[in-house]
Amino acid sequence: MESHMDRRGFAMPAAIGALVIMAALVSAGFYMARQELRIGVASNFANMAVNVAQAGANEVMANWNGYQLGNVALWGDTTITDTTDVGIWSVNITNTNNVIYYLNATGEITRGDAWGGATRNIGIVTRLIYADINPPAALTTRGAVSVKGTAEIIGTDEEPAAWAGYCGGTADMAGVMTNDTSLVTTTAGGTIGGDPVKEQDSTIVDETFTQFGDLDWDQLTALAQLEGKNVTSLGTNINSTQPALNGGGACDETVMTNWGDTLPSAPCGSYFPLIYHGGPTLRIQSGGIGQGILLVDGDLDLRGGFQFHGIIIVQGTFETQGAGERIVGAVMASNATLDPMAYAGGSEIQYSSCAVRRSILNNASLSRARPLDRRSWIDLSSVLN
Amino acid sequence: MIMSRNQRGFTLVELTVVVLLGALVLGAVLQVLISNQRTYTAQSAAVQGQQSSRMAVEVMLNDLRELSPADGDILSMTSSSLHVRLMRRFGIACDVDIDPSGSSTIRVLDNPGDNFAAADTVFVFAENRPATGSDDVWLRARVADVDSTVTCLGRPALDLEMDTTGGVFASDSVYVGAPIRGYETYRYSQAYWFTTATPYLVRQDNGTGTPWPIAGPLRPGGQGLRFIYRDALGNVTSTPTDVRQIEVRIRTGNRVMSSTGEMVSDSLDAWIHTRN
Repeated sequence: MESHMDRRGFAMPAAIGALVIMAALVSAGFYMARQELRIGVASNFANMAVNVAQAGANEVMANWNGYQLGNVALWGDTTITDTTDVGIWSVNITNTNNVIYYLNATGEITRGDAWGGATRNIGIVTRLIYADINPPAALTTRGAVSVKGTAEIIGTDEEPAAWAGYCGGTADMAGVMTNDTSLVTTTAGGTIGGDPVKEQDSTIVDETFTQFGDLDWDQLTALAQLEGKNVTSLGTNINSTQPALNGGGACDETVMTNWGDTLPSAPCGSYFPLIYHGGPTLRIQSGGIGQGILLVDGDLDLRGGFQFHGIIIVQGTFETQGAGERIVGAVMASNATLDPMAYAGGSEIQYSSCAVRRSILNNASLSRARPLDRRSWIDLSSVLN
Repeated sequence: MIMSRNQRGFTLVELTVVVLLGALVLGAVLQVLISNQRTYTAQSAAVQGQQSSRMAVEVMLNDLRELSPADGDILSMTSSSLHVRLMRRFGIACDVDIDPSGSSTIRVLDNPGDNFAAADTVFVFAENRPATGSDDVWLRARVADVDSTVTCLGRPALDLEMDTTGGVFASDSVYVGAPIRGYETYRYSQAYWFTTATPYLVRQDNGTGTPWPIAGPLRPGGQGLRFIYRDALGNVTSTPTDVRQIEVRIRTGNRVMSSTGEMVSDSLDAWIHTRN
């Protein structure tokens, strides 16, 4: 028999060698293709992360919550986070001057398992668009004004003690601004203060009390009704408005007599409602507290220690009596019929630009954040370090 | 003794057959290897082309989407080059001391990216009346000097001493909280880089500096890079301030030839919508 061992050729080693070389080439090609795929996926995810960050910023702006975000102290910040189908966004909101808010939005891709995790960071500079209600004095009105008893109308700007850090700067205003200061009188211990004490402005007309920038009275009252704070149904007398909490301890904004809490740290401390009473007369008595903007389509009579931070706009007359009423902010009373108005007892109207500003900026209906018209969008990944 | 039958050699016929068969097998293997090598090289060139085009689009996407054409960020534009202002610095004023007729200083928090330097030209946001956005304006000013030894809100800060020549702050109000942007100018175009025979997408600082390659090689003959500018309605426009979309067409080209004898190339089109 012949030995087959000695007849072996080189075809098999050559074939194996060729296969190895081809396998190496295929592997290299596969590796390159995979690398290419990874680069493509990474590029896709990176762009997706920008879009997720943008979605977060858009979401925050679209659902701007003046109650919560207006309560962020100057240079303070807060962060809102949510998830989408493809990732997580986180938007840090910094209050830089109560009008300009800086949004730092981060988008992170969670899809793609081990290939996920792309993160991108964008910035958006926003400004609040808000109702231009700008009371020029502690009390702006028309007709005869009599301040008596120990009542005070003070135009010197005051920041409520518990609100330190929420506003910045003060600007004193007139105590009383009317169309005829000769009709403004003080008797007994009644006091008017401010810079100046009284100021006459012949341009005060009906529109002064009904037109606020782009918003008019009808629009303001409609917004109040949309907020669910048309309190006309409570009748002429409203007693002891107080903050109300729901079962979970949160502020219950559905309660008609809940007009917020002047203590910022309280559950209703960031609630600045727009309140409307259709008249013809509203009498608030028996104590009570509140904040925001109170609109009265008729006459307003305060008595019995009512405390309010914000703006009161009255289309009829405005009077006070009894002890302890304190309005911190400003009052505008149209008094188109020029009826004599009296401020008596121990009541006080104290001008506060801080209370005026917060009552507008912290209201969800009256303020909205929008990107600056120009140069609002910042690609933070391209900012030089 | 070993049997002589087992020691006999190959016959000439056997050798000839083996050599022929071996040559055939080797030839086939070599052909496969050469083919594979060509395919591999072409594939590598194709991958490089894809990466280059993607890189080019990625860079320009990141840079150009922050443009504010309405504010003059497009300095000049043609179908083959684009000269733009790119925002590179960002800060927020935490203290403002503006004297329209004298020295003015804006203090910005020293966040990452606030590396403003003397002689920078910056845009400062003037809010004017806070209750309305209709009078907002970005003021273009020059930083005369920078003091980095100051603090603000307990954090490191920079004092930007502004050059008020020309009364740049004379009629507008800048408040604390105002954003400030610093920028660089760049020109994108297709150019040959040093002595290489193939063109690249290049970027030139200040529009005239040394062209630095970003991606390539591109197709020669001016076919590698094309810009098309469109307005908000998508119509082609030649007015820089009307531009809202920039269509970037990248055509890569490699001297490697494909199996069909053509230049290995790839293409990528991207539509960049400006955000500002």
